[in-house]
Amino acid sequence: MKRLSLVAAALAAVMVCLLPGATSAYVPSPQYGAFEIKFGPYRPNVDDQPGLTGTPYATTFGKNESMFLTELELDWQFLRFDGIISFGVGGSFGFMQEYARSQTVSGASSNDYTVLNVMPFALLGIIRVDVLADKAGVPLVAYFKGGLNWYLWWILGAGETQESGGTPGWQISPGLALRLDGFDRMSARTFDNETGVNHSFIFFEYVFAVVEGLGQDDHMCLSPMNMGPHGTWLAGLGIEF
Amino acid sequence: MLKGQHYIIAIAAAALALPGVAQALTVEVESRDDNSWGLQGEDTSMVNLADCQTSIEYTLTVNLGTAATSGRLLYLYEGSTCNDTPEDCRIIGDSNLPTDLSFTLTTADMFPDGCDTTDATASLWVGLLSSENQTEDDFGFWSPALTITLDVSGPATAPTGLSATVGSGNVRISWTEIAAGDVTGFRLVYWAGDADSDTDTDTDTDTDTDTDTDTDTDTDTDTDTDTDTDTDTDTDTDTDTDADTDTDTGTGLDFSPVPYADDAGTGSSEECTVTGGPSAGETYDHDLVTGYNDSQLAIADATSALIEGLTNGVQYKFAVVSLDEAGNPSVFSEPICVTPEETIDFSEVYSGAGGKGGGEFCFIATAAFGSYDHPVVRVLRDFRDRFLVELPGGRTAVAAYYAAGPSLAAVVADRAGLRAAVAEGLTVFSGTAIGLMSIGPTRFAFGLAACIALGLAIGLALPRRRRDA
Repeated sequence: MKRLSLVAAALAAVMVCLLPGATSAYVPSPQYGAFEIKFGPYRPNVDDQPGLTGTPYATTFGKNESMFLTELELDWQFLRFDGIISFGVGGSFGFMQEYARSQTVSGASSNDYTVLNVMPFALLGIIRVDVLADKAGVPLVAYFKGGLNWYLWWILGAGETQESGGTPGWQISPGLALRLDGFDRMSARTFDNETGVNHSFIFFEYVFAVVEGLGQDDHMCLSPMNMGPHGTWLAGLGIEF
Repeated sequence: MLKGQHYIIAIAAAALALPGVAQALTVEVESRDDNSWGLQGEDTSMVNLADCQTSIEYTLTVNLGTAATSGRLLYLYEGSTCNDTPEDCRIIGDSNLPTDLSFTLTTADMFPDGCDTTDATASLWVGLLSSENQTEDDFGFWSPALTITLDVSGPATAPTGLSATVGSGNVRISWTEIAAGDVTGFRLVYWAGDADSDTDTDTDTDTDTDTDTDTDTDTDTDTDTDTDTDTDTDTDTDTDTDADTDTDTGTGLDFSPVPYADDAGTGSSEECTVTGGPSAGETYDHDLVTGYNDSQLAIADATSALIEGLTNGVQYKFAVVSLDEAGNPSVFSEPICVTPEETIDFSEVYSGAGGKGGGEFCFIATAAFGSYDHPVVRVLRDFRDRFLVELPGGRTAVAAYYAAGPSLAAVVADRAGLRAAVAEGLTVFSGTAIGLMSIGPTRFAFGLAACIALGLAIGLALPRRRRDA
């Protein structure tokens, strides 16, 4: 008898929780922007620079050697149609590096290393389509980014910077984000209430970048070549807040 | 390595238990000469071949404790049981009490039979006696024995299979791993060829050729033809042959024990033009190698060492010995001769292929001083590479400078007054840069963080106090 009472009480508690309006309504915090950290391969088309004789990048680092790009991006969503779409601007910067043994003047591989460091900066416009995730219950957010780049590069040899420069360019990046909120909705809401983070997501984006001097051929070409000419991909983790 | 370190060798704890010892009398090895090969442990009572060959000095200091000194002298004996049978021992030192409480002795004093004796030991005793014959002074004071061992034999196995890879001003020497248990490290020595060891050819050849051709033709027909041809050929060829190869300076090295990890190409060696130095299997002669400090590769399974600070274009002869625990060397390995070369970095490959887009570096300083190699510019380059880039955000700061630098440099370069002002400012700053480099980026970052934290704490505390007030 006592056992039956306990079960009944538990069921009643569950029913109460499931009734609409039984719990306090969740009110998301205001949303202003997004932050992303992303990673991906990056093989620059240095050897495509007009006027080059030979293939200095392939000769030094290997034809198929990709750098590993780590990038941070911060966006401000200045215009939001909640649950439908948002418009934002953002900036990103990253770092990637390729290194190889220097050759001796007689052509042998040496003990020394030479390094190409690249730090990409970007100013981006971002459109995020939230409607699927917010209205249709499908936790996917499509987005599109586009903007201007400035890739800063410097070359190390014998432990010192030997040469440096910058290459301007542009990029467009369509991507798809998978919202993680649905995997543990309660935690996501608590997280929002306590820290103001509205959504967390993982994403994959295709990057089409032409970083070749914006028409001037006296810049080192640094467009990616991993997914066709000028293409690569990045994947990472992000939050909207 | 051992210089200045004090080692307490003998403590008088056992002294009272010994027959004939009445009071505490202790002896310390206060100092010993620097052992240029170094000992693996802190066992100052071990004398290796280098110690013996150079006859290093030991300074022993006596602590008399409460021993009565009246009418007594200090003696240093060498022998087996000197406190019982001093007559069977050698006196190798005495001292004038009460001012002189130390003995200085060399390894030659301890091992008069020379350095060839294998596994010899010397037992040292200090006696505070009324005469050197203890039998006349049964109430003398004796220290415990200080035993010093002579170990002069090195490992049986010398490194083999030497190969080398070169870099700009550096050479990595690799060898086959040695499995022998008595090897505890390696020493690599090299002999540098002379900076002028390039062979100059000097040949003097003078060739003078004069050719004069005169042709005169006269005919009666009043035709006069006069042809004068004068050819003068002068050939001078000057070649100097001056074969000059000079090698003899043994040079030691201080190398980093970095395990050889990745491929730097196949090992190479050259025909030796460096004269001097050892042959394979030759016994290590300490006098042959001078001028190095006592660093050594104390890794038993090491298989390579990187030697830096070499001069490009100069051939060096390298040889390796393995070391045992006492620091004694094996015989020499097969020597190998290598010449470090300049290396070509990506900027040179890129520029060589016609690549453009690179800017200058140290733009503003170079513009202000007119030279990338100006001493101040060098300091600033060091500051950038050794300090700034090591700080959090340092690389970003450098990157930002690279972005803005060329434009600013152009402004500076065009204005003489500004150039001088910037040069002065940078000269002053270079002093600060030297100071910051001596502090080091890590300590500086911690110090800065501490200052900021302190400032914030004070800043937050002050308004609260005001509010509270």
